[in-house]
Amino acid sequence: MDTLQTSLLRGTLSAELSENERRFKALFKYPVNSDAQFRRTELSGHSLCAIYLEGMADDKKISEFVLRACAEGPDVPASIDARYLIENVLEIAQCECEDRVEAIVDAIVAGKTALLIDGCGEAVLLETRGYPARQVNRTTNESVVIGAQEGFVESLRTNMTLLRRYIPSRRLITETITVGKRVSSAAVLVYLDGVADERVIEEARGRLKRIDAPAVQGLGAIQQLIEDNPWSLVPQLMQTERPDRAASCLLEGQVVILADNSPCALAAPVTLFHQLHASDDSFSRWQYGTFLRLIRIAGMFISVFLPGLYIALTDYHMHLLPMSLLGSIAEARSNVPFPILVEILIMEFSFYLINEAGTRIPQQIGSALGIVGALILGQAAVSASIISPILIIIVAITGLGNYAIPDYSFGIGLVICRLFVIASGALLGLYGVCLAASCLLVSLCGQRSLGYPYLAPVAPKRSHNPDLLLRLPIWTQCDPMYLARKGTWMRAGRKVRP
Amino acid sequence: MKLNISASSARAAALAAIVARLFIGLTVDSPASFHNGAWVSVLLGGALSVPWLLGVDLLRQRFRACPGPARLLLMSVVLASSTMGAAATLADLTRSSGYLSLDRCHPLALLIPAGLAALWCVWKGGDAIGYGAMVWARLFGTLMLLVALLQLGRYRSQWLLPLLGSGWRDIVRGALQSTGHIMAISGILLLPDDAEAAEIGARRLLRMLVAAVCVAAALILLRLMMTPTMTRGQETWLKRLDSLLVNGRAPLYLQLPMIAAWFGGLLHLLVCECFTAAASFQRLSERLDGRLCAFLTVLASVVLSTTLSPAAGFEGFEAWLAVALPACAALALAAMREKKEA
Repeated sequence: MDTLQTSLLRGTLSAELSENERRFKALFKYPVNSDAQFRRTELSGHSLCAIYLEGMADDKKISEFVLRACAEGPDVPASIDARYLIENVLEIAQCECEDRVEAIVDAIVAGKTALLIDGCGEAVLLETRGYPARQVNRTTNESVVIGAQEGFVESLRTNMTLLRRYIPSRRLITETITVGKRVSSAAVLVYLDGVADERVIEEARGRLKRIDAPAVQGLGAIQQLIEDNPWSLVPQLMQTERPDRAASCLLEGQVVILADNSPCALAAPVTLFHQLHASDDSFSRWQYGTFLRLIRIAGMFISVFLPGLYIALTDYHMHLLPMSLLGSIAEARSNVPFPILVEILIMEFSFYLINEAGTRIPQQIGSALGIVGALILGQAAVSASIISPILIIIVAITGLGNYAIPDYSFGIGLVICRLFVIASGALLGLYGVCLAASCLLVSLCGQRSLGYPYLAPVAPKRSHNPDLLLRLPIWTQCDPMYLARKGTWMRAGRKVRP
Repeated sequence: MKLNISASSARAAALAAIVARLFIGLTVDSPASFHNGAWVSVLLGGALSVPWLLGVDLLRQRFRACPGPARLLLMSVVLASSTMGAAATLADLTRSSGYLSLDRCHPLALLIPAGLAALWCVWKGGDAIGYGAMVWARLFGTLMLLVALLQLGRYRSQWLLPLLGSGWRDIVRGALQSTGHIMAISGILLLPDDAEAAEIGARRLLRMLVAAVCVAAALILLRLMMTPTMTRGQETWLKRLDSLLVNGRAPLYLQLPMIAAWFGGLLHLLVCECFTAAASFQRLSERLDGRLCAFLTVLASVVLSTTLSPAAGFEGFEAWLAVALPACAALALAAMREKKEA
């Protein structure tokens, strides 16, 4: 059966309409496959057949600009071809001629309409895509207080338009690359010509083209298939659902990848510092942006190290705690039957259980989760002496630190790192925490994103704007990042102080 | 897997390692060299190392032209010295972690995690270690600034007197020791394959050396202002460590930055030495896989560190190194010249 399908897909159209129609009916398994539509029409005695998938193509467009145009069309010569139809009859702006059966099938599957003509070995592919799509809406995971609020949607075309709105430049290039060997889908490589480094573009293009998977389900799959180190805990490409953030990456010389059915974009190459930046930073005045960024960096360190340090200090190095604090901890723990490690693991597990349940729970009963979390796991667990109140504070601060990180995937990676630090602290105290920190540091330093070091421009040192850990005044940021092409036209050239 | 490192990463790793080795070596490991003139010893040791480092750079530039036996000899010495250095660092790590509330742990329980951590870091590659050193240098600076701020009101400049401590004889001995420490670390500078212009390479190396020596001397000066001279002398290793970690007389709970700096410095030193040992081992036999080389050298360091007695043995070793390494380098250079003439 597969061999038959493959042989049908190969080759080009014949001049016989009925033969072509039979071929496409066999390919789409018509009439078993009820979505495939074969609509016969006539143009001054010439038989035509429009093939499209119901739901993927816009019926109105087809009936108004194709079928009616043919029915009311001008008198045509005895012999017509696809080009004649495009130039004289059809009223759709985007049309193209195609004779390869496989390309025609791909276009129909993507929502286009193929118009077959009797006596012509070419079909007209009409841009009639009109499937239902979500409207541009507020972002859900990357909310900001100040700044643009709209986010990407599932429609690739809309996402590309959003990016074009943020960067209205003729040098914004969008290259469509088909991914998936068996079920193909479209991915788009976006970059700013003359700003993005050629090597980065080549690398991204090459990796996308080398994807060998039979089907690629959205950007999440693309990310996993093209990243440098799939074993790493931290993401090496940055997912964002904000067009303004993706646009800012493009302006700095990074490339952005979009895919159909993915309400986000992938930016690459990225560094650790990108994962800690938020859109608010550049919208706010520099003092506020810097302050918020420092809070976020502190949040990251707290998220990774606080529980590990707590367990190390309370289990092994009590002498390093102030006496009054040590007294409070001892008093709070006096009735708790578990060792600190078990206590921490119970709380961490409960915290992430609530977190995960909160993500999946229907909105109508979402408030119940707060009650369960606050009352049952907090108050009741303390009353029952299962955990100490001080640990609730530790876990709560840790959780808050984690939520301060703007990149969701990076935040999850840090949670796993935290468990490693907790285990090291429980086994070897501060010595263990230092060992874990060294391993994490060297691992991060060894990481690469599209071949670029993950901790650059700090390690290795590269030239950069004062917009890394601190977000200094915007007039001091006259050059794009080191990732950009050398001598790019985006350089301000001088400090543009107001 | 090839254990490669770029010249800039090697310099960064060497800088952080030299600072750590000089500071640990002079303040805790060698009681005889820790007197009021120790900072002069460090500066003098740095000056004595200049010709050696320039020689190292020259050798690195022409390493590929270096005839087989000379290269093997040089790499063998680097392998031996860095394995010994890693073992010494492991011993220091175990002793200090044992001192910090882990005294009931079996030494192997402290050695094995450190060995595994070092192995993991070496497997990540030379550039990861070099970049890690760049980040560590910044962290270390921040920690030491914090330590100095916590202690600010308690530093006593009068404890620096007499300025030359126990005299020139001890200063010279300390300087030779410092040279030995720098030489022990400098093996990593032989490893990069980058084609870097000789002049630029030498200038950057010298800049690195000056920075490392100045930082180490400054740290020693601060350390000298923490405890009066009369309490120094015939203390045990643990006593010297204790007086360092307590950060003078800062409250106990404010000692965390010093402890973090101590462990961080030792761990960076360990990783740097293990990488040098593994990479030089691989240069001896190019067919060996880098992961295997790393495993064998880390294993050797762990085994060696269990047999070592506290630092006293290392003073002799460093002195030996100060003779052996230049001798090997001279042999290699002579062999290269012969080859060129032939």
